[in-house]
Amino acid sequence: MGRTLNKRQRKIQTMAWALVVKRLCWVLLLCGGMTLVKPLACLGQEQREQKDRELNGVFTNPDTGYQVWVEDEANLLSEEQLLELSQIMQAITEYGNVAFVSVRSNRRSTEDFARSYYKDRFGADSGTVFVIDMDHRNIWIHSDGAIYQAVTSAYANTITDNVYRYASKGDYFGCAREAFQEIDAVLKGNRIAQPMKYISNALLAMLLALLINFGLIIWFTRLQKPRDQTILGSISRTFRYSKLRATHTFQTKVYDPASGGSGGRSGGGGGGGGRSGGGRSGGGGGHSF
Amino acid sequence: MYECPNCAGNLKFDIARQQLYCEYCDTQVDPYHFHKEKDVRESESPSGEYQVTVFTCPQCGAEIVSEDTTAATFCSFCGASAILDSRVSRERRPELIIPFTKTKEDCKAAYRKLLRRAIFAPKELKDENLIEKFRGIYMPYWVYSFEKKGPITFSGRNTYRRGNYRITDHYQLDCQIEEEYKGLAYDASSTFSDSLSNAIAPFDLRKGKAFVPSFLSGFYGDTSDVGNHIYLSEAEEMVIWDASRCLLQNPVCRKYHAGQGDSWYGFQNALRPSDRTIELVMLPVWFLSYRNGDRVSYVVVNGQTGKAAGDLLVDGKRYLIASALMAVPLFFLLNLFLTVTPGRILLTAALLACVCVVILNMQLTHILTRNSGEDDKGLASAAPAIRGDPGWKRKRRIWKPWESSLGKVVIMLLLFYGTALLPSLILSVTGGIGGSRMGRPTLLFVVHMVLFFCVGILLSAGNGSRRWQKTKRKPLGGGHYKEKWPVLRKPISGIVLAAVILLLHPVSDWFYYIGAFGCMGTVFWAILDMIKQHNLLATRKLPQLNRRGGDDNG
Repeated sequence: MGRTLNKRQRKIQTMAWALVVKRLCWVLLLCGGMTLVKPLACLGQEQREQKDRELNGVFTNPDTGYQVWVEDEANLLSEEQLLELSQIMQAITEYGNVAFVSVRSNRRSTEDFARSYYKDRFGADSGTVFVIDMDHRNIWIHSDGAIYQAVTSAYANTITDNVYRYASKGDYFGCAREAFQEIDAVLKGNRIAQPMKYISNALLAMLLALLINFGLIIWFTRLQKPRDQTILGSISRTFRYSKLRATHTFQTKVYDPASGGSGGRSGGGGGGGGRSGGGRSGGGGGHSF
Repeated sequence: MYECPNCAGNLKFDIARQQLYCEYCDTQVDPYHFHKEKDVRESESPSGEYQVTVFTCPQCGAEIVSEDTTAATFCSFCGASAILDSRVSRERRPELIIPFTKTKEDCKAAYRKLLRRAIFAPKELKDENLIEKFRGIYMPYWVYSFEKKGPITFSGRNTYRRGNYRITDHYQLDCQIEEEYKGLAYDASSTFSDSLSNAIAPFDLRKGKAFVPSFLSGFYGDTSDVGNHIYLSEAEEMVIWDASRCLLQNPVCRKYHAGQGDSWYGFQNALRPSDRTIELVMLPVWFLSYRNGDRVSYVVVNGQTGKAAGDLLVDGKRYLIASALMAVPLFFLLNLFLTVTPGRILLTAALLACVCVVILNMQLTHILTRNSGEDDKGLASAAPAIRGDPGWKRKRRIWKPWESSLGKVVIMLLLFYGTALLPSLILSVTGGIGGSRMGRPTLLFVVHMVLFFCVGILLSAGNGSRRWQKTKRKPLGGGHYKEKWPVLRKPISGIVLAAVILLLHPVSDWFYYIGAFGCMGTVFWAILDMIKQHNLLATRKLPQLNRRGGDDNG
């Protein structure tokens, strides 16, 4: 009987230990799982962020620290196009920050939007932003800093002139791609096509030369009448006066009350307003499409 | 002909010697001591006339006086190489003469110096054969002298404020003046334009000599056909202006504000000369005429001072070549600093077209004024009496209703709102075409200003301010659009083209470029017209004086 009890007791004890071990294993498994889940969760987040970065967010050039921003608010480009565009834009990060922005609704002018976006995103750093404004149907390039030294307002106008036709046809990706490729070309010191500039300047130079020469003709061949002083200087002239005196004759009084100082003293106007804030250095150009 | 007392050769006045000189036997004779029977008779003549041989051009009626039979070879005024009719006549004897002091060589040197400034002059003007045709002519001038001695009175005032009153003390200013102006010269020949005679003025009348006909030997003389009163008021105004300027420098006059405000007319009248003397004098002018088709241009050189002036033509080919050469550096300069957008190039082209409109309008007004004789008092005074042509005067301007002040205010209001609302209306209608809202206020403003400017020009040209009316000149020509339209329509069409494109505001650049190049084409055309108008201004209608035997169709 005592042996039977011992057996039963041992069996119960063994089962209890097994249960403890089992629970311990579960706890350990749970703990191990917990330790494994976090890295896996982090891995997923990184993948999501990477994807997000590739689509809308930033690429940072490790050498220069300049960033690429692609913000397609107007959903003009597909994900593949956004990826391809950001890769094209990466070449520009050698010189400064670069951004592509599209907007569906914009209360301000495209130029103001581009300027404001640039200031918010890049501050006073070197960079360029290409904006497609679907509200105003306008494209705009705004640059600042070192990039603005190369991509001046004149170049911005030229580039937008060159690419606006893509936007007119609805090929926004082509438009942005060409714009950034031309910006990159300008930054690398290459020339971009601007045939109309040369044709316009040639015609303008010819007309200006014709007008300048006409001015010279008028200036050199006009028949000038001598001044009265010159004529009077060549004649026998005498004018003398003496005994000049003044005699008071009468006095007139006119009632003319002072008007309280309101007339003619209407306070100085306000200072010059406008958009010419101090130290503004950037600029750009655009084109409707 | 004045015969040499030694060899009976022809005595001519020698400029270098200032004597009558015989080139055959080197005899020199003082003009005043040369006794010729005719001169003696004339000096005894109580009527103040002298006998001369007058040559009349059968084509234009111009007359020159000469003792030289070679004068009959060509006419100095119309360039005709016809044999001139000659007759003996009696002319008013001038009181004074200034003999030539500048020789023909001096004259040619002055002319060459003048041509240096005329960079686009045709080569014909530099032809030695042409330059040899310089002819020394004594031109008749009216010389005005003014005098006033004695007391004068004029008013002055001093105004100041005391409390609520503005008090003015009135003064009477008295002084003794002695003013004497002698020798204000104005040309007395209708063939000699005022613009040319003014350009070579002044002559120093203090070096004038008593006239004797022998001074004319070897030279030619023009006859006076302009009344001696024509320039009297102009000369008198100059005298009063100078006297006023001198007197107003006095501290007393300045203190009492003499000659200011209402007292100005009284002040001027006080200084108005009391005695006036008018004399006829002969002044030396080297004269060259250059016939260009049915028009003629003149170059004149002052025979006393050597001052040269002339109608200098422009050779179109030279002008275009020089402009093309100048365009090359300009092109590179523009490429360095300028990248124009399509809109701006169109606006620039329109702006250049506006400049052309303004210049052409001024030129056409000048041409109309010259052709009508309004810019030449002498010609205007002589011509109607001679021609009896009722169409001589310019047409009266058509615009009458706008002369009232109310009319002007209404017109200005209509003009302002019309030019402001019209582009807004068009833009609102064509809003869908433009596409972009950016820059629309700027565009509206530009269009408004251009319209306001253009319509304002048209109205003011038809109307004219009081100041312009007083001077008998109209701002921007005073109308005559029918005559001006064939020329002005070219640049105006360019402006209209640019305005339409800017208003429609198409997206495609090609509209702007095509519009800009079209507008530039009209500008180029207008510039060529400007050169043509300049050459018209640099030449004159052939004189048709019809004095005695002149042909109206000459």
